[in-house]
Amino acid sequence: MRHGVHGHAIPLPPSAAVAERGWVRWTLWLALAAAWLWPGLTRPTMLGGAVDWSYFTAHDISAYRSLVDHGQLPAWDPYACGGIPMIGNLQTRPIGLTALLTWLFGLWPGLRLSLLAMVVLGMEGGYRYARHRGVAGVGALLAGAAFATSGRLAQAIAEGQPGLMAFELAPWALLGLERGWRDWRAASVGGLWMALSFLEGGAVPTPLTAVLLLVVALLRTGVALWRRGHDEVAPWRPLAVLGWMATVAAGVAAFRLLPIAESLWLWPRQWQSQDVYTLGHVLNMMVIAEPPGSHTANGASYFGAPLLLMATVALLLRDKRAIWPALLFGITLDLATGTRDFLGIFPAIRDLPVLENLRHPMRFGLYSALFCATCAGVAIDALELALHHRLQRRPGDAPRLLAALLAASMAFGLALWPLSNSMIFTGKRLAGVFDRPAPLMVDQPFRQSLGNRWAADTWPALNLGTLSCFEEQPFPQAIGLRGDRAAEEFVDPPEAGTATRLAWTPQGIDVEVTLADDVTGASLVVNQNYHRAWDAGPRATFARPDGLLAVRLPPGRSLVALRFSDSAVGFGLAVSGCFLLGLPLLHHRRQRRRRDEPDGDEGEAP
Amino acid sequence: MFEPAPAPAEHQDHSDAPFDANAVDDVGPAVSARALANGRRWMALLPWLAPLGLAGVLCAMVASAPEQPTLRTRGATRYGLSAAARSEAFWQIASYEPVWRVRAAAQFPDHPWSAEDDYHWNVRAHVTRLVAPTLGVHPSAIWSLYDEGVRSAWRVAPPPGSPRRAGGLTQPLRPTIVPLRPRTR
Repeated sequence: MRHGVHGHAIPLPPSAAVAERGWVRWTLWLALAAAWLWPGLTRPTMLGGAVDWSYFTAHDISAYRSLVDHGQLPAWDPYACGGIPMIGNLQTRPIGLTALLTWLFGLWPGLRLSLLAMVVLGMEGGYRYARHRGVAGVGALLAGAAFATSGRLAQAIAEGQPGLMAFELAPWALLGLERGWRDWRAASVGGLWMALSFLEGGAVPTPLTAVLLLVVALLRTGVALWRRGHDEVAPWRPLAVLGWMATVAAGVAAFRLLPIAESLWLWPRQWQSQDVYTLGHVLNMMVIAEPPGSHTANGASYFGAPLLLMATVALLLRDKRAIWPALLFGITLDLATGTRDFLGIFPAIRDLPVLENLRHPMRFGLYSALFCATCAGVAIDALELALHHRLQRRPGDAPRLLAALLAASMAFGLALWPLSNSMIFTGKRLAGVFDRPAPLMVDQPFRQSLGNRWAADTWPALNLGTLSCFEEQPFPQAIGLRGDRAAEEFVDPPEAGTATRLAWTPQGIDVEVTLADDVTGASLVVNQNYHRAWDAGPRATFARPDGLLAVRLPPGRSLVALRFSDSAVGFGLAVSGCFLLGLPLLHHRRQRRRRDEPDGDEGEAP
Repeated sequence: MFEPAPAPAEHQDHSDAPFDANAVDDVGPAVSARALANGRRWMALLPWLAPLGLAGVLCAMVASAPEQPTLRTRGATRYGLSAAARSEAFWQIASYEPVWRVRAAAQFPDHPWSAEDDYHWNVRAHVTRLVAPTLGVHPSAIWSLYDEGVRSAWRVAPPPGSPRRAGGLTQPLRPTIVPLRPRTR
C-alpha cells in the first residue's frame, strides 16, 4: 500500500514489486541511457559540429588543464580572450560532477560519461518525483525515462550545450521543495541538488528551475490558504522551504556564486533577446516529429503525441493524482510561450532585476515533459491497477501470479508505446551529432595565439591561448595582447633587462628577471589581461595602459612568483565548507532533539 | 534519566564460572541467527552487482576508446606536412584575408568586434571545409601552422600554378584583435 496525494491509501500496482527495487531501476536507467547515448559513448573523441560544442568544450579543456594537469583550482582561464575568470564565468563548469569524471577517467571519456551520469540521474529523479506524486510501478518508470530522454535534452546535446544537461536535476530540486513541505531535511537535500545544478550548468538551468520552484511554491501557498484549517501544510511553509533551499544552494555553491556575482556586476551579460512563441508553436515543438532543426523548430522539445494522449487519459479517468502535474503542465506551457497573453509569468519574471536577460522561454517545455510524463504515469498506473483488480475480482478467475503478470504486461506494453516513440525520435537526433574529431591534445609551452573563436576548443588543446574569442559577458580584453610575441613574459622597457620563464601553470607564473643595477621604473609584463586577483607577493601588480598585467620591479635580479589568488573564491570556499559541514550537524542535532521530544513541532525551521 | 536495564541472566559475564556445556548450546543458536542476519544483509546487496557491473562495463568501454593521433609540433615535417605543404596551406588561408576583411567591415560597419568575428568565421569555415580535407590532415594541424604563420609573420608566395594573383602575401596576418564586445542583440 502507498499513500496518495491526499493521504488516502492506494494499493500498489503489481509492477511496483519490480520497479521498487533500486537495483532493477538503476540497471534499467543505465541500459536505457547507454542505448540513447550510444553514438556518443562509443566515440568519445568525436564531438558535434555546432559552434557551441567548440565553445563549451574549450572551457572544459581549460578547466581540465588546470585541475588535472596542474592540480590547481581553475579560478583563472588563461586560454580564453587573453585570460578571463574561469570560476567567475557563468558559462563554465570547472568544479562539479563533470570535473570529477574527467579527473577519474580522462578528458574525453569523462566528458561523455558526465552526459551518461546526468541522463541516469534525470531518470531516477523523474521516477522519484512520480513516486512522490503517488504514481508507482511501470507508470513511474515511464515518467522517469520519458522525461530524461525528451527532446529538449537531445537538442542540448545536439547543439553542444552540455551545461543544459543540468536540467536533468530539476526533478530532484522539485522533490526537495515538495517533500520539504513536511520535512526540512528534504529541503536541504533539494538545495544541494540546486547547488549541483548551478555548478554543472549555471547560466540557464538554475534560474529556470528556480522560476519553476517559485511558481510551485506560490501555487502550494495558494492551495494552503484556500484549504486553511484543513491543510497539513501551513501557508507560510512553501515559500519558507524555497527560501531555505535557496540559502543552502547559495551557501554550498558560494565558491562559484561570489566570483560569478562579482563578474556579473562588473560585466553584465549582454544578449537580450525577447523571443516569444505562440502556444501552437510550443506544442509543435513537443509533438511534431520533424527532421532535426534549430532549437525552436518543430520537434525541438519532443516527447510525442502518444505521451500527451496518455496524460489526457489520466484526466479522463478523473484520477486526482493527475491534477497537480496537469496544472503544472499548463503553467509551464504558459511559461514556454514567454508571452503576456495568458498568465504572463515569464515576462513578469523578466522584469525583475538580474533576470532581465533570461531568454529562450521555450526551454520551460522541458518541465512540461516532466509533468506530462507524470500524468501519463498516472494513467498507466490506474489502468494497471484496474486490470489487476478486475482479474482478481472473483477468486478463481485467474491465479494471483498470472493476474499480476497480465496487468504488469499490459502496463509495460502501454508504456512502451509513448516511450519508444519519444526515445527513437530523440535518439535519432543524437545519432548524427558526433561527426567532428575532437581537437588534438598537445603538450608544449603555453603562449597566446591569434586563435579563432569559432574553433575555440582547438587552442587550449594545443596549450595555446586564443585572443579571438566570444563570451556572453564583455570581459575586459587588453588592447596590448598579441599573438606573435617571442616571449609571453617580458621586461618593459626591453633594454632594461631580461625575463626568463621558470615555471608556468594556468594559475601561476614564475619568472626570473635580471635588470641592470641602475634601472628604475621597469616592470615585468605578462601577455595576459590584468585582473585584481593576480598577486606577486611583495611586489605590486598593476594594469598597464594597454590592459596587460604587469609587476613593478626593483633594480637587479628578481624572482617573481605571480599567483592568481582571488579573495572572492577563497571566502566562497570557506562559506561552502561551512555549509557542507554544518548541514549534517544541523539536521543531526535537530533529529536528536526531536527524538528527545516526541511531541516536537514538525514545522520548526532548521 | 534513562538507565540501562541490567542484562538478562543468560547474557551476564560468566568468564569466572566453570565450563558449562549447556551454556554453549544456548549461545550457539544466537550466534547463528546473527550470522544469518548478516548473511541475509549481504545477500540483499548482491543484486546491486548488476547496475554496478553495467556501470563498470560502460565506463571501461568509454575509457578504452581508441586514443587520438599524436600531433608533432617540431621537426621538418611538423603537423604531418612538409615545408612546401605548410606554406601552401597558409597561403590558401591568408590570401583571402583582404577579401574577408572588406566583406566583414561592410556587414558590420558600426561594430568592429563583430566585423573581426565575421572575418574569423570565414577563416574557420575555410580551414574545416576546404584546407584540412584537401590536405588530409586533422584541423588541429592546420590551426597549428596557421599559428606558426601568424607568429612568424610569414609572407608566402602562391604555390606554382595558382590560378589567383601571382604576387605573394605582401603583409603578414595581423596578430592582434579587436577587444571583446559582444552584441546585445
